[in-house]
Amino acid sequence: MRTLIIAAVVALASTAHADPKHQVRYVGIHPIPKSEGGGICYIEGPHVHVYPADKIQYRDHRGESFFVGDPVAYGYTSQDGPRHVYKGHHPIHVDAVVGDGDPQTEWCYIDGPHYHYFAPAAGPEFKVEGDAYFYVGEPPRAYVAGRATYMPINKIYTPMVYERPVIAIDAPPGWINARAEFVATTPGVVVTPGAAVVAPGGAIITPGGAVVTGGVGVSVGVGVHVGGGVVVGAPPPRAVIIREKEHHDNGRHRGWDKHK
Amino acid sequence: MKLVLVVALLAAACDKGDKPPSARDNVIAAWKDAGLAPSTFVTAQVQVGSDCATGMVGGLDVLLCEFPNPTAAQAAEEAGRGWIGLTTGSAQSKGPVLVAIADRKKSDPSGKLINQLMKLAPVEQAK
Repeated sequence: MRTLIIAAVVALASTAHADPKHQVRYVGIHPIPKSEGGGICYIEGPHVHVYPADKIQYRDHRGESFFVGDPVAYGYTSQDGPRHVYKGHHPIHVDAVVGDGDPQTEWCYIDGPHYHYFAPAAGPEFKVEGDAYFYVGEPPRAYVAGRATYMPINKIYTPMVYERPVIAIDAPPGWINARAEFVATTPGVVVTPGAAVVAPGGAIITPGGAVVTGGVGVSVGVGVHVGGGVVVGAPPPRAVIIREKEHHDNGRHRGWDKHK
Repeated sequence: MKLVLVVALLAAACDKGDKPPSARDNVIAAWKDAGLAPSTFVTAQVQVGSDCATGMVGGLDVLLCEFPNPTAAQAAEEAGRGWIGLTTGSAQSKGPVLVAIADRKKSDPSGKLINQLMKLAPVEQAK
C-alpha cells in the first residue's frame, strides 16, 4: 500500500514538472521575451513560438497573436523597417496589416506619441499632422468597452526608456484624446468645473476639453504644474502643443521625457 | 538498327529538355537567386503530404511539400506546424507548395532568415 502511495505521489510530481511548452501561434512582428533572448521577431507572416503572448500587448486574430504595442520600445529600429508615428488612441485594422481577408479592428490604447510598424489604412478617420497620425474618427462602443481591459498597456510603456517620437505640433480638431467624452474616467479622478483635471497616469484634461495623456510630468496652461518633463502650453480650443525637455523631473520619471 | 538508334537518341533528347521544373524546384531556385545556399533536398516520408522533401538553409530545417493545387497546400499548414514541433518556425502555403521551416538549432533567433525565405518563395508558380 505504501509503495502504491509513493508511486502515485511520484506520478503526480512528474506530471507537475512535465514540459509545459506548447506551440503559440503569432502573426506579424513582435517583441521576444527577455527570457527567450529578447529583441524582435521579424517574421511577418504566420509563425509559431513556444512562449506565450500577453493579453495586453497582443490581440487574437484567427487564433494568432498580433502585437499592438510599440516595437521601438523593444529595439526595433528604422533600419529594421518602417516606423509610423501615432499620437494617442486609434484603431488598428489587423486584416490590412497582416494581409488576409478576415476583417478585424482592434484598438491601440497607448497614450501619447508612439510608433507602430504599420501605417493606418487610408481614409478620413486619420489626419496626418507633423508626420504623425491622429485618429479623428468616431470610435465605436468597442473602443470604450475595451479601455478597462487594455489601457493598462500604459503601465507597461510609461516607465520604459526608449526613443519615443517627438510631436511638436497642434493636434487636429476632433482628435480622439482631445474629446472629453472619450476620456477615461477611472476611479480617483477629480473633476472640478472650470479647472484642469489631473487623471491617474498623468492625463490632463483642460476646461476646454483638450487632453494631454500619457504620462508624467506635465504642465498645463498657467499655474498648474505636475512634476516635469513634458510641457503643454496653454492650449487653444481643441488643440494641443507639446514640447519636450523643458522641465527637469528630478529623476523621478523615466517616461516620455527621455527621448528626442 | 539505325532506326532504333535514332529513336533512342530523340527520346533521350526529349526527356532531357522538356521536363519543366517543379513548383518545389522554383522555390529552391528563388532562394538560390537571392544568394542563399540551400542544401540538397531529399525525399521525406512525413505526414504532411505525399510529395515532400527536406533540406537545410542557413541552419534552418526546411520541408517543402508539393500539392496538386494551392488549396490543398493551404489545408496542410496545420500539419506543417505539427512537423515544426516545439520550436520557432513557420508553415505557409506558397501556391501549390507548403513551405515549413523549423529553427531547431536556434540559428535564427530574430526570425529574419525565416522571414526572408518565406517572402522569397514564389506564390505564383512559373508555367
